[in-house]
Amino acid sequence: MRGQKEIVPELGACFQCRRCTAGCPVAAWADHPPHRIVKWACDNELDRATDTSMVWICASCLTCTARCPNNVPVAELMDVLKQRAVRNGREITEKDVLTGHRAFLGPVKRWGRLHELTMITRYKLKTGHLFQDVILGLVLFLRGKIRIFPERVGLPDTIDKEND
Amino acid sequence: MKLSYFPGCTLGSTGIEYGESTEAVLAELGIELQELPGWVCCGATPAHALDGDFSFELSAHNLSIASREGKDVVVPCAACFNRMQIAHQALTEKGNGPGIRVLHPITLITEQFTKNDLEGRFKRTLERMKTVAYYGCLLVRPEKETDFDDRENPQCMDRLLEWMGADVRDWSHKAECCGGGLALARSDIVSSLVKELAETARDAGAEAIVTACPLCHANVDMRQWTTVKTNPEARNLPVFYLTELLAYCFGVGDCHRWFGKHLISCEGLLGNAN
Repeated sequence: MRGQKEIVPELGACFQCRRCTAGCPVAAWADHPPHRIVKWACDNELDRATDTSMVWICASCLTCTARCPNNVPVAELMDVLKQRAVRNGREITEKDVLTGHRAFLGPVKRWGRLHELTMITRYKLKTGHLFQDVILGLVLFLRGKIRIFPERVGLPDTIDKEND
Repeated sequence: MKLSYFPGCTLGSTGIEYGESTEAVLAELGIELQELPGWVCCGATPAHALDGDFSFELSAHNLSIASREGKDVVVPCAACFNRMQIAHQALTEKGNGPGIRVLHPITLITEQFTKNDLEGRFKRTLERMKTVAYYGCLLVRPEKETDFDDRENPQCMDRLLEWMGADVRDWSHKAECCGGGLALARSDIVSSLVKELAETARDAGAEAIVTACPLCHANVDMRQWTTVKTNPEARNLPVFYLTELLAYCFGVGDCHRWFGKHLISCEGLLGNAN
């Protein structure tokens, strides 16, 4: 899949029209808007672009990439910078988002399928938010929407699970 | 007609209403589904966020199973559909296409059946229930890869709902994000986005929101339920899966059991007393 080497050269087409930021559903909560992250990455200020909450709050809705008049891969850049943050040991301000992603992937790598109960337990223990949505979780369980046991099909050996 | 089936991780758990209603609807339409043997998680957002190659390999593996089974594969979950279509496109570009199609149930139904075919099978209609069609993000973007509908103003679900007798309202937010995978780590953002979705849906005159994405359903149903309404007069809007309503119209499946699993009650609608 396309990584930093493929994505960054395409950022040069950006002329800062801000259409990405205008359509971004989460920009209001981020420290810096998407168009600024694109500019920094384009100007080779990669650490500055990486060390933002925006790259983690991005919901991957793809509104930015879809609407960009110049086909700049804005959403894909957010993924590239998340991966760069982890790889280079950068300080991550939205740690819970990373924890959430890892909590999801744990059961997937181990059993080949998501197991929500394992994901939620891992998430709560790692973040310390032990009582977050406890009533919601109980109601879901009572309505038969939470599987108790994981389905273990396993991932084929051909899939490389090692990078994070 | 025989097709392969990829339920994905949520259709047996948090999206169980979607899984059961999809299976009931397709059985009613004479489509025999065979679950892909040994299918694995598509990785949804977390996989592509942290490791693009891993994300691709998950979907490529599922597509190779589908290819071996030799039949098009029905994929109801929007995230799974999205990841598989992206992998499908990437493989095809390299000359390694799986040779089968990835079909969302809405595409399958509208390709195989006309309005008359479906109307002929309806035992009930939605009796002008005022609805908005909520597509969310992953069915319609990226537009080329998903090949599903227009990304700004999709219509396929609106049309189906009209055939089913709903009073479908035009809506500003039909393809706006619910917050998706931020459900756990930033539920504050999700709650705010859901509040805006519900408010604009009410502005459009809707009594219900209809969706085809398990995460959109979870977010819009659960976060209306957990957040205090700023306007006490404003009614929380029940969220239905399209296939629950199709099953209701066909008179198949245990619709009221499915509706009972939602957090927002649909009392006052579809024959339920207030």
